[in-house]
Amino acid sequence: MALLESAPGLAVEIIATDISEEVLRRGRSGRFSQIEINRGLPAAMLVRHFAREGTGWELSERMRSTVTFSQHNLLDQPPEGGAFDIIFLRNTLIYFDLQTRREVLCRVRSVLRSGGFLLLGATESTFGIEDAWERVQIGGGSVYRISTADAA
Amino acid sequence: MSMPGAIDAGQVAIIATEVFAAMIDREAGFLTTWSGGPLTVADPLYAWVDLSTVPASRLQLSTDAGTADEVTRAFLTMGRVEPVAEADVADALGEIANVLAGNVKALLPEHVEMTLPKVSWQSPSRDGARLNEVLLEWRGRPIVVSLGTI
Amino acid sequence: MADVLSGLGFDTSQAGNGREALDLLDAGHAFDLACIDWNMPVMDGLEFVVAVRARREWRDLTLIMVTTEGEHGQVVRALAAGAHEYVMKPFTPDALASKLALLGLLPFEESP
Repeated sequence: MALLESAPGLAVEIIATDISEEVLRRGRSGRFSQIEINRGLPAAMLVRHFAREGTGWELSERMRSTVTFSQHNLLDQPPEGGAFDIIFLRNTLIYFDLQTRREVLCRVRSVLRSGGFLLLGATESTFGIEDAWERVQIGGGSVYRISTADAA
Repeated sequence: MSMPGAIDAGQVAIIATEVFAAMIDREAGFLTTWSGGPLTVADPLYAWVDLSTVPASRLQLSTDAGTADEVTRAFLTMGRVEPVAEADVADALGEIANVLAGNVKALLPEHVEMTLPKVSWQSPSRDGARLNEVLLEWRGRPIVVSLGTI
Repeated sequence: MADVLSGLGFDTSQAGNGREALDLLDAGHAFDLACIDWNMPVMDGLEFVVAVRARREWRDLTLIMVTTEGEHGQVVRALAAGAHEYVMKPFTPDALASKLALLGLLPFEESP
C-alpha cells in the first residue's frame, strides 16, 4: 500500500510465502479481523484499500493482485522470482536455532539483489548470525543490506 | 429463531469471546459456551442496547451480581478485593453491551442506529419480546447474551 | 479507556459527552489527545470533532475515534471531519499504542 501510494505508476510484485497452507489460504483471502485491522494500519489507508466484510475487512482486489502466495519452506532452496529488491523476514528467525538461522540468512542473501534490503522484526538483528550484513539507519527499524565489504 | 437479519447464536458467541478477550481478560480463552446444565441466573443484572432494526431488536447481557462485580474488576483492572461501586458496574456492563451490539450491528446489511446502553436489575423485556439466549461461561460463571426482536 | 491510557503513561480526564469535553477544553487545560466515542448524548463524537477542528487554538489536539461504529462510510466521515485516527471496539491496548505511535504520541514498539 505504501509503495503504490507513493509511486502509483510503479509495477510491484510481491511474493509471500509460508510453510502452512492454512496461513496461505488466509493470506489469499485478503480478509482481516477487526483486531488485526486495528493494529498499526493508518485509518486513511484502511478506507482507501479495504471494504467491510462481516465483522472484518477485506483488502481491495487491486492490492491483492500485487501479491502471489506460495508455499515455501525456509529450509529449502529459495523461492522462484528472485532476485528481490526487498525481503521481509520478520519475527521468523526467532523460531530457529543459530545454525539454521545462518543457513536461512545465507539463502536469503543469495536471492537479494545487491543494494537490496532485508527487513527483520524490530527486536531482531543479523549480529551474531552472519557478518555479511550491514545495518541501515532508517527510522527505528531493523533494516539490513549486504555489506559492500563482503566479497564472498 | 428471532435474531435480526438471521444472525445466529454462533456468531454472537464468537463476538462475545473476542470482546472479552480484547477488553476484559486481555487474553483469549476465558469466555466459552456454557458447559453446565440448564441455566437460570438468580437475581440477574441486565445491560442492554436497542437497535433500530425493523422490527426493533435488543442485545442484552445478563448475569448475577457476583459475576457482574468480577467482570467489572477485570475490565477496570481493579484489585481482587477492591470494592466495586454500582456506577463502575453500570459503566462496565453498559460498555460491554455497547461493544457487543456494535459488532452485531456490523453484521447487518442495513444501516442501524443503536441506543446508549442501559443497566438495570429489572428486565427491560416485556411479553412479546423474543430474545434468543446464548449461554456463556466466564471463569466458571454464567453470562447470558440475548439477541432478538422486542 | 482511561485505564489503558494511564497504562501507557498518560494523565487523563473524562467527559460524558462532546459538550462536556468542549467545556474541559474551554477551561484552558492543555490536552495532547482526545479519544472520542461516536455515540454520546447531547453532542456526539462527530459533532465534537467538527467543533474542535473549527477552533484554531486547538489545532494541535490529536483526535482519535474509539468507537463501535465501524462502517466504511463512517470512518471516511470521521477522517473527513478531521479525526486523525480511528480505532474500532473491541480493541486491545497494543492496538491503541500502535496508533498512538503512528501519530508520534508514543515511541514505536512492535509486537510480532
